Amino acid sequence: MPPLVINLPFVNKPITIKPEKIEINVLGKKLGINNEYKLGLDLQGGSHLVFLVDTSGFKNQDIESAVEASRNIIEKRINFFGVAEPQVYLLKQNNNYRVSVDIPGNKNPQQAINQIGKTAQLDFREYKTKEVQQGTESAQMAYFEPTKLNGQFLKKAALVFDQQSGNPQVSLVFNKEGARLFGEITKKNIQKPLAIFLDEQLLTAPTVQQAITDGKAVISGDFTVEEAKVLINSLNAGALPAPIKLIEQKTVEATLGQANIRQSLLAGVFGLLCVIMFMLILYKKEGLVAFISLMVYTIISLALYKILGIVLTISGIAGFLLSIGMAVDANILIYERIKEEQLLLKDKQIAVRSGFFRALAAIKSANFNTLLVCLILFNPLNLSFLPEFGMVRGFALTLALGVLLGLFTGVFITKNILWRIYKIEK
Amino acid sequence: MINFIKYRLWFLAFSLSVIVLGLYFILAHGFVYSIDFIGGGLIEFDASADKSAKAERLMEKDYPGLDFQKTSTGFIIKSTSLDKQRADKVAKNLSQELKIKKTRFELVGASVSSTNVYKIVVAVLLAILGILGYVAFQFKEWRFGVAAISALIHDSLVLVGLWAILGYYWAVELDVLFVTALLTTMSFSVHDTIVIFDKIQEEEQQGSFGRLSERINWALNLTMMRSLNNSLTVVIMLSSLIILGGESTRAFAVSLMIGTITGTYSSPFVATPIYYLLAKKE
Repeated sequence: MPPLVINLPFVNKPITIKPEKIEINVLGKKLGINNEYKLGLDLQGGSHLVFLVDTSGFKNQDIESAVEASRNIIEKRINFFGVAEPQVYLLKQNNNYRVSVDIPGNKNPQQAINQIGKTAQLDFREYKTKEVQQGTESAQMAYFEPTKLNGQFLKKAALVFDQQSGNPQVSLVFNKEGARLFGEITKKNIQKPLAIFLDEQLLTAPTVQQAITDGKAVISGDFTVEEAKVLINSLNAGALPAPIKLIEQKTVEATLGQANIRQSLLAGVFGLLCVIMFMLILYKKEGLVAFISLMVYTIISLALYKILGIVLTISGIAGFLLSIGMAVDANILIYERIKEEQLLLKDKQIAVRSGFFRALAAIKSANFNTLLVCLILFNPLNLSFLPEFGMVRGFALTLALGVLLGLFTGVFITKNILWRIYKIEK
Repeated sequence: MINFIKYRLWFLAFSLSVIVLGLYFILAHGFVYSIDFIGGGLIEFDASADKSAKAERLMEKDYPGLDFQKTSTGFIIKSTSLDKQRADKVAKNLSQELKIKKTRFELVGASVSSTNVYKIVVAVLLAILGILGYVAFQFKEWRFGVAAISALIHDSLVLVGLWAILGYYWAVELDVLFVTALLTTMSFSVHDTIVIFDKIQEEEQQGSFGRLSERINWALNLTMMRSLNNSLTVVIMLSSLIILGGESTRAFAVSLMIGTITGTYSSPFVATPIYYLLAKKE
C-alpha cells in the first residue's frame, strides 16, 4: 500500500502519512506492525489451485498418511519454485481429500501446476562424452544421458551411517523393476560416474564401484547430516504417493486486483463521509459524538488488520464497509432511546443516563446474532460440513471484528463523551 | 400514531405476493448459478470496447455456446462446458489474435461444486436454529422466537426469489458471495426485530397499556425511527459500494441491500403481526 498523501485545503502542502515498521514484544511474541497490509489473491493477484488426491489405491488406514505426505510434497514443490509465502491446506470432505494451494503474485500459473503435478522428478543419468568440433580443433565434451531409471522406481531413501567412518550416507531402495534397471545401468558404468538429477538439476554423481543387482544403493559423499537429510527429503519427495488431479483453478492478475482496491477504497471513503453527514444532520451535537466514535472505529479497525495480520480480500473490504454502516447502530439506538426517555423525563441528565442503559440490552442481543452468523461463515474449527471458502471467511472475519469493535466505540466511547458533555457523575 | 395492527393482513398479503412471485421464478426459471456451484470455466479479459466487439464476433464464429459478457474494462467468457483444455485454448487464441491480456482465469470441477451446495444448506439451517434458540432464550417466550424466525424465513425467501428474477432478466449469478449475503440478511433481519420485541416486552412488564394491540402499536411507533435510521446508514454504505465499488462486489452489495431493506421491512410488518396473531389468542 502506498503512503497516504492528503492535500489539505488552505495549507497548499501535501501531507504524507507513512507509518514505519513497529515491533512490539507481547509475552515474548513479536507483534509486527509494518506499513503493508496483507492482501488476498483477489487484490494482489495470484493463483488459487485445488488438487483432488486420488486415494483409491490405498487401504483405509494408509489414506491419511498418504494424503498428508502428498500435501507436504506439494508444499515442497512450490517452495522449490521460489514464490513468496505460498499457502497449502488440506481439505477433507467425507472420503474426498483435496489440497488447496494459494500462490500469491504468481506470474505463470501453468508452470506452477506442471511443477506441482509432476509424478516423478528424480532420475539417473549415465556419464557420456562426445567429440565436439569447432573449426579445426576438436575436444571431448562430457554430458549426462538420461536412463530409464527415475524416482518412479524408488521405494525409499533413508539416512544411514558408514560402518567404519561414521559419515552420513543416503541409502536408496528400488522396487523390483527399479532394481533390474539399476543392475543393468551399474553393470554398464563400472568406474564411471552415475548422476542423480532432481528437477533437471544435478544432485550428486557418485562413481559406480560394482554392478548392483539387489536394488539397494548407498550414496556416500562429503555431506553433513543436515545435507543428507535435505537430499533424502528431496528424494522421497520425488514421487507423490497418490496421484493428484487439478479440479479448481482461479487466477487473478495483479492489475485487476489493483483496480479492485482503488474502487473499494473510493466507495469506502465516500460512504463513510455520507454516514457522518447523515449522523450530523440527524442528531446535531450528538451526531458529532457519533462522528468521533466512528473515526476511532475506522482507525482502530485499519490498525487491527495490520496488527493481527488479517488477509484483506474484496469480500473482506465489503464486510468492513458494511460494518462502518453498522457501527453507528449503537449510537442510533442510544440516541433514539434518549429521545424517548426525554418524553417522560424533563431532566436531560437523567434521560441520557437511563436512555443509555435501557438501550444496552437491545444492542447486545441484536449484535449477538450477527456474531453467530459470522461464526458459522468463518468456520474457525474447520468443520468439514460447513463452507470453507476463502471469500466467505474474509467477509465474516472483518464483519465480526467490526461488530465487536463497533460495540466498543459505539457504547464505551459514546458513553464517556456523553457523560462528559452532560456532566453525569460516574 | 400509525395503527400498524389494523393493517396487519394487508402487510402479510403484500409480503406473500412478493414471495409467491419469487417462488414462481425459482420454479419456472431457476437460478443462474456461478461456476462454484455447477462447475465450468470463466475467463476475463482486459480489452477496449473495440477489441471486445471483435472478440464477441470471434467467439460466435469459433466457439458458439460460450457465454459472452461485456464489462466496463473488457469482457468475460463463461460456460459450464469450459474445461481446462478448452479454456486454455480459448484464452490463448484470443490473447494472440487480439493482443489482449487475460486478467482472471477460473476453472471449477464438478466434484467441488456439489459439496459446496451441501455445505451451504447446512450453514443456513445452523444459522436458523441458532437464532431461534437465542431469541426464544433471550425473551423467555417462544412466540417471540417463532415470530422472529418467520420474519427471517420471509426475508430469505424474498431475497432468494428476487435473485431468481434478477437472474432471469439480467443474468445475475447465484454465487458463494450471495450465500454469504443470505446469511448476513438473516442476522440483519433479527437485528431490528429484537429492538421492537424488546420494547414490546418492556411495555408488557410496565403494564402501561391494557390491550395487546395498543402495546404493539406504541412499541412500533417508538422504534420506527431507530430501525429506519439504523438501516439507512447501512444502505448508504452499500449504495456507495454499488455505485463506486467496482464490478467484483456489485452483485454482492446488491444482495446485501435487498437483504437490508426486506430485513427492515419485515420487523414491523411481518414479525410483529405474526407475534400479534400468536399472542392475541390468550
